[in-house]
Amino acid sequence: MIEKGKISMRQFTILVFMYTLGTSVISLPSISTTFAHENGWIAVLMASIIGMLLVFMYIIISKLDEKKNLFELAEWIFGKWIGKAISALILLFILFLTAGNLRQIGDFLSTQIMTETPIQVLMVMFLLTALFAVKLGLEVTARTCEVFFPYAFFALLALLVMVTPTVDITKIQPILQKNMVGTFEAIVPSLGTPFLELFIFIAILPYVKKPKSARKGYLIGVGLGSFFLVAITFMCLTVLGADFTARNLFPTYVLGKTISLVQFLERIEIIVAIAWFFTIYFKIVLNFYVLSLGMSHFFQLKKTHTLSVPLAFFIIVLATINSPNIIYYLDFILYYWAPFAAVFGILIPVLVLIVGKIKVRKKDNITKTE
Amino acid sequence: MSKVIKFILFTVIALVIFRKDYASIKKQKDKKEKRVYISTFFLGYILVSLLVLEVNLPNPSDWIKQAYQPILEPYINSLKSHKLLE
Repeated sequence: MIEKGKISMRQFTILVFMYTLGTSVISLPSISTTFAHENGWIAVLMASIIGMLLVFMYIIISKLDEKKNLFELAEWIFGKWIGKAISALILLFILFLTAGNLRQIGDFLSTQIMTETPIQVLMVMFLLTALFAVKLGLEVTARTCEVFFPYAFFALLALLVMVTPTVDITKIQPILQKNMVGTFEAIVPSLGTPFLELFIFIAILPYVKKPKSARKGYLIGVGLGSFFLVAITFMCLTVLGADFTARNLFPTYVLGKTISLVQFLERIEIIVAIAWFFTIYFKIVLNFYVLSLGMSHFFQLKKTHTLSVPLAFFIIVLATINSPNIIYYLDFILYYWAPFAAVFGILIPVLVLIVGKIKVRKKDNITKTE
Repeated sequence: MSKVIKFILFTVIALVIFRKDYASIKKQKDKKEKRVYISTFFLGYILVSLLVLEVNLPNPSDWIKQAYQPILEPYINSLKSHKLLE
């Protein structure tokens, strides 16, 4: 094993939770509502259920060999060359994902908060802090995540509680009466972020102290994160309405702006926004870490962070060129991201699972006959 | 700031980063480690340099779109028919 550090089940659960919320917390309400209209929250709920089933599948894959990470499993199951080819594809996807996440936070900051600052500067600053975390390793990242978790959790909870007085249920009525097909079709783009990206945790699972409890933590983290995603989408729809939620690229931020308690506690959206700076930051760090780990496996290097600096160069280039403008980005995320991510989040894991099971059975039969 | 100044500035920064980062890899005796690091760093440096010099780099998202377009066309059309805002 290249990675020597070990994290606890608690830390792993928190990492999964932060990753699940990640960029989805700001963009998912808009994505689902665009197609499901006032049933957007139902589309997110159904996507979450499918997401949990996917996590079950990832858990079964990790059980094939508890000590092997995603890249080692691919090589063990498919042999050296096919395994390396699959690893390379996964690594390209993670590179693309990391760059996409970086671009998302860059777009959010440069259009909503720091409008005068060039997006490249914002992205470089975010990437440098992520690089620092990757250099320090998984243990340090997990401990840092533990420190920031309460802030992110309670800020998001506070957002949900504080917007409750402005909820208007009539905005989501009639429930599942109109646009049924659209609601079901909206599940696909809603699955794209984050549920089809959760497979990256197969690469981290072997570094958790107790594998059994880690699997439980995987489910708890995704479950809790999904609850927040459904709740935030529900609040966006009942407070802002379907039209406004779909029109805004970052409706959760607009939702934060509506907080007004006895005309005293107002314009506190930035406090809530800082919460998802943390969730997005940890998502970028985890993707970057797995990318770095995978590259070290691919080239059979001794340390996980050897290639982190060169990879940072690739990420910043890709983040800059992958979407010329926000319309292009929106088009890509709405129509192409989920089918693209499905290859890595469903197709490859299913293949790994089937071939892996056959291999394990053959191995068992051989040992029995001996 | 002109492109050339930006490029020179980036080259200086990249050199400083290389010196600092390579020091930790240099300690290891493994030649392969050094070779892989230098080649990926150099590739990364070239890519960022091209970006700094404002060279039009191909967008990989376009490749993905082109590859998936024929398969996804019915799905995209169906999704578009349910889009709330046009």
